[in-house]
Amino acid sequence: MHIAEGFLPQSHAVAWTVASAPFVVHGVKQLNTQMREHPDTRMLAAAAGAFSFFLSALKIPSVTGSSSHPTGVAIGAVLFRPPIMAITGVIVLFFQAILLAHGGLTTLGANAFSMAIVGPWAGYGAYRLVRSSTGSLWSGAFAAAVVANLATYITTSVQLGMAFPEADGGVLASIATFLGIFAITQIPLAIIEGLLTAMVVTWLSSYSPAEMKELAVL
Amino acid sequence: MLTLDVLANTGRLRHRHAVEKVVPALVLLIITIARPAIPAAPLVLAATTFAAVAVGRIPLRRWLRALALPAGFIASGTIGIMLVSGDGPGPIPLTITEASAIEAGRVLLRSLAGTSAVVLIGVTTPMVDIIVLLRSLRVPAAVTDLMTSMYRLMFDLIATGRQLRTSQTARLGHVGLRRSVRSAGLGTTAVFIRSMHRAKRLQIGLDARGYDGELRVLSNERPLGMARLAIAVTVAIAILAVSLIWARSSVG
Repeated sequence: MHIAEGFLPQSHAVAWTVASAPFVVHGVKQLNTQMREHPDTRMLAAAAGAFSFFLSALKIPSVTGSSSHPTGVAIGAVLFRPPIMAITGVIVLFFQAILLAHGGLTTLGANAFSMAIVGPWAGYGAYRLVRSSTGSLWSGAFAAAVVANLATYITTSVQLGMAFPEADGGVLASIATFLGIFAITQIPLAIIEGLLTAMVVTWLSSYSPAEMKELAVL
Repeated sequence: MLTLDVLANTGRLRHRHAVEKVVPALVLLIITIARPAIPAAPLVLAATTFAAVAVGRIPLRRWLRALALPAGFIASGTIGIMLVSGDGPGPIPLTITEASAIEAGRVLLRSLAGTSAVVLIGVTTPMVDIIVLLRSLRVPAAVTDLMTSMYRLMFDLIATGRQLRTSQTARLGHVGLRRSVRSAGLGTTAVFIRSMHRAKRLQIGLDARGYDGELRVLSNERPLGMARLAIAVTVAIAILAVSLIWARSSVG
């Protein structure tokens, strides 16, 4: 759910950038410490970022006829934890803006807030909750992707609703309109990405248990 | 492999100093966001197209195609602005008012102009140069190193993903939604495992060369063409001036 370049008025663009900044700074600090203490995990973080970018360039089947791309937010959050996702997510968004013309620079802050901060934390929370209560990795990963997707989509709708309030109903009516329109594509997409994520995470734990132990998933 | 990246690395402006390309594009972007869509947005669009096609010698068709994909996203995004709640003709309680249609048109223009400024950076400036520029702006080395490594790994993954997809399709792996989701999952898993292995091998290579936490890369020294930069920024300032004069004359 990228907000395109130029979509947000300047005050909103600045405000969302300010809102995302502390999370990103925290992510950079964590990254710095990690690089100093475990320089060997550096390539792992790079692999996480490169993998998120790869997912956004990948087309997955979508029921609305057009194919859409997965956000990859949940896989990243489950495998690499949300703080690392804050910084790799911002870099991925930057690459997407420059290399794919997807998203933008003035909307980078708003997109980072929904996709590098809210999405990963919500997805990770759902994963921990479902996995500890059901004991199933499959269900945990499925829940992570569905919740991360929906949280991202709701955040984006709120951001757009606040930027474009309706003349009569104001911000709330506008948020409802955006939620309604995006629901057509985002809800099926969330379920498909949920299935995809669950498959990937369970297959990974049988094909490549060493890596999954290293990442403390197993 | 990625159209914009290919254009940036093969284009005529490739060897120009990154500042000459990035600064004017960012000034145009700021003008687009800060000023009303009319007349700034169409002027910015014209300026970026001129810079890409006439100065950068990017074929017009490729430039337009690079803008077409984001334009689709932008158009679908403006639907939400155009529709407002109210009694419409259909069963859904949404309608279009004159004000909402004008607002949608305005955002569409502003968004297209802003996107063209970002795409201009994308098609003229190789990512490696952008990373060097970020480093000189004091972005922490941990971040720029991560960017370099990610950029290095990304293309490998995309190429692998495409090969996997081609072979899956050849085996009818993408016939029907069910099978397609399964194939996408298998492909993603394979790419992930491969990316981990790749990353590990790169790490071993770095360790063997005495990696101590910072990647030092030589970048090509390029002279900064102050005259070219001045001309480009002047064009941007001229657009700002037209926008300001326009605003004053429409008030008076």
